[in-house]
Amino acid sequence: MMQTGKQSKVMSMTEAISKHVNDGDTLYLPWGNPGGPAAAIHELVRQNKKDLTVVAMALSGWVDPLFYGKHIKRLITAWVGSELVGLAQIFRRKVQNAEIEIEDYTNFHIGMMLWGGKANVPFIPVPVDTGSDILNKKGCLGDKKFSIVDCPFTGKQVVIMPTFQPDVGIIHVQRSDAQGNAQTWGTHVDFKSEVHLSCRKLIVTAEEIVDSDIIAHDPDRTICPSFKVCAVVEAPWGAHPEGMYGHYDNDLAYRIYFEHSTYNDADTKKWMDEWVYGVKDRQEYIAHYIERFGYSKLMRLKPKPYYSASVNYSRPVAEVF
Amino acid sequence: MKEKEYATDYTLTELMIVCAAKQVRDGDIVFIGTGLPFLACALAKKTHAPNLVPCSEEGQIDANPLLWRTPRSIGDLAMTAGAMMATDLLGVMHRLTYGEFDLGFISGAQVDKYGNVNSTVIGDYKKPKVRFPGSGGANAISSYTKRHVLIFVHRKHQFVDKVDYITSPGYLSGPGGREAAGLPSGTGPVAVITTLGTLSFDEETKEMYLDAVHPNVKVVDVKNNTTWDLKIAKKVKETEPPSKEEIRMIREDLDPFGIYLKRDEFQKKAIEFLTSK
Repeated sequence: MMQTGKQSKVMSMTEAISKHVNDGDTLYLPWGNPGGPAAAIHELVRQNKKDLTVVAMALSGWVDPLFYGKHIKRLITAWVGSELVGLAQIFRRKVQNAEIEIEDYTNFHIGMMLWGGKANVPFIPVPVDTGSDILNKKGCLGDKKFSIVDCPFTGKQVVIMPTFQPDVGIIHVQRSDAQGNAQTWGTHVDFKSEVHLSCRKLIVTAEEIVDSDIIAHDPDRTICPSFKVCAVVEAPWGAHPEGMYGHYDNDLAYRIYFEHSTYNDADTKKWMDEWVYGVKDRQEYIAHYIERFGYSKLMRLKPKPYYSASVNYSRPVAEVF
Repeated sequence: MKEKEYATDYTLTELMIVCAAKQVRDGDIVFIGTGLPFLACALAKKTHAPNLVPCSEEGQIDANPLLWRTPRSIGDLAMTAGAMMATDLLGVMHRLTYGEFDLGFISGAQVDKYGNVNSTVIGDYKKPKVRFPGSGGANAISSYTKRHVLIFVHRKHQFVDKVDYITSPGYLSGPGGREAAGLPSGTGPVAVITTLGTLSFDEETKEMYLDAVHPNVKVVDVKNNTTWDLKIAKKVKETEPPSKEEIRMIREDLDPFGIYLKRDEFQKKAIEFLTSK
C-alpha cells in the first residue's frame, strides 16, 4: 500500500515491527556490512515473527540472531557469513540440520532480481552460465529458480530469472525525516542501485530523525521517497555491531565475541537471553553494553569526523528577463 | 640495482601473500576480497604494480585501501573515504559482467583438477554435512574476470576428483568447457597458490599441474596431498623466498595488528580486551 501525505510515521521499533511485519511475509534485508538494521532484527526475534521468507544479496554476521528459532522458513540469498570473523554459526547449523529451505544464487543474480522487482518487470535476463551448480542445483524455488530462453534479438540463449517484490523491507540509514525521506552516504552495498525499492513497503530505522528541510537541501542523498515508507524509527546505534558512516565504527571485538558465543546451541541460547530477550529495545541493549564492558569500550567506536566539501545546488531566480 | 635480500624468517601465509602478489600486473583492475587476496593486492600496489585499481564488491572503485588501516572486510568503513568512486554491489558487478575486470581471487573448501571451486556445501545440497557462506560474488568473479587466481590450503580432502558443488567455474569439464557453458572466451583460472606450492594450468588440457614447490616442500608431498594423479611440470621450480623488504611491508604496513596474519591470536586478544574491566 502506498503511503501518502505529510503525516509523521515516527513510531517505536516495537510498534513498527508489530504493525508492519506479518508471519509468513517475504522480507528484504540489505547485506548490512556496514549499516545493517540490527536493532530491527532483534525486535523481530523478540516478537517471534514466524515463517518469513528472506530475500537478500548477502547477509553479514549481524543477521545471525534471526536464524535462531523458527523465524526464517525460506532463505533466498547468495552468501551468509561474517567476513574475517567467521561463518555465521547459527545460520550454518540451521542449514546443516535442514531446518530452513534455501535457494542459492549469486550476489549479482539476487541484485538483478530485486532490481527487476523495483522496475516492476516480471523477469530479468542474466548472462548464461550453465556450468556451475548455482543453476544446476535447485533448492526451495525448484523449477521457478530460472529458465533458459532464446533471445529474440540475437537468437542466443539467455538465462531469465524471476523478479522479487518483497512484502516488506527493513533498512537502516543515517538520517530520515518523519515521513520517511531517508538519506545515506558512503557505500551501503545495496542502496545506490535502489534494490530496496523493490519492496512493497519499507521500514526505515535511522540514526537520527531530522527536519524535512535538511533532506530537501541535499536530495542527492535520498535513497527512498516517503511514499514507500510505512514506519520511521529513531534507532541510534541501530546497526551495532556493524558500523555506520559518521556515527560509529564497526565493533570488530564484539563481532568476534558474538561469533565465539554461538559455536554451540547452549552458548547461543545464553547470548540470545542476554542480548536479545534480556533487553526491551536498542536503548537497553546499549545500556547493557556499557554496563557489561564499560563506557570507554563503546566510545572507542566513535570515529573522528571526515567531512566532504559541500556542493552548490544553485538557487535559481524566478525572473526570465 | 640493489641485490634482493631474502628473508629467512617468514610464515607460510606471508609466503603465499607474496606469491599471490606476483600474479598482479601493473594497471590491473582488480576485484579485491577480504583477507589474503586483499593483502596480496596491497603488497603488489606498494611494489611492482603502483597503478593497480583496487575495487570491492561492496561498491568502492579505485579504492585506497591502506589509507586509514588494514580493512577489516571489504565492507569496512575505512574503504570508502579515499576511494575515487562509491557505488554499490550491482554497480561493481555490472563492471564485472561488462568484462572490465582483469583479475580476481577465489578461495574455497574444495577444488578439482580443472580449477572448479566449491564454497557452498560439503555433502548433500539440501542437508549438507557442512554449510559454507555460499557464492557471494565468487561465481561472477570466476566467470567474468579475465584471469582469476585460486588460493587454497593444500590438503587431500580439499584437492578432490569431484567437488560436491561447483560454486565458481574453473575450466568445468576441460577444454572448451567454459565456452560451452556460455562464459566469455579467454577467461579462467591462471594459477593456484597453495600452502605447498604454485600450480598452473596446461594450455591444451586445461588441467592444473605443479609448477613450483615452496622451500622445504617435496614434489611427493604435493602429490600425496592431492586426490587425483597430479601432473608435474618437466622441471618443477622452487618458489622464490620473500625478500626482507616484502616481509617488513606485510608485517608493518599491511597488517600490523595481525588481524589476518595472526587471526586466532588476534581473536583471542579482542575478546580479552572487550570483556576486561
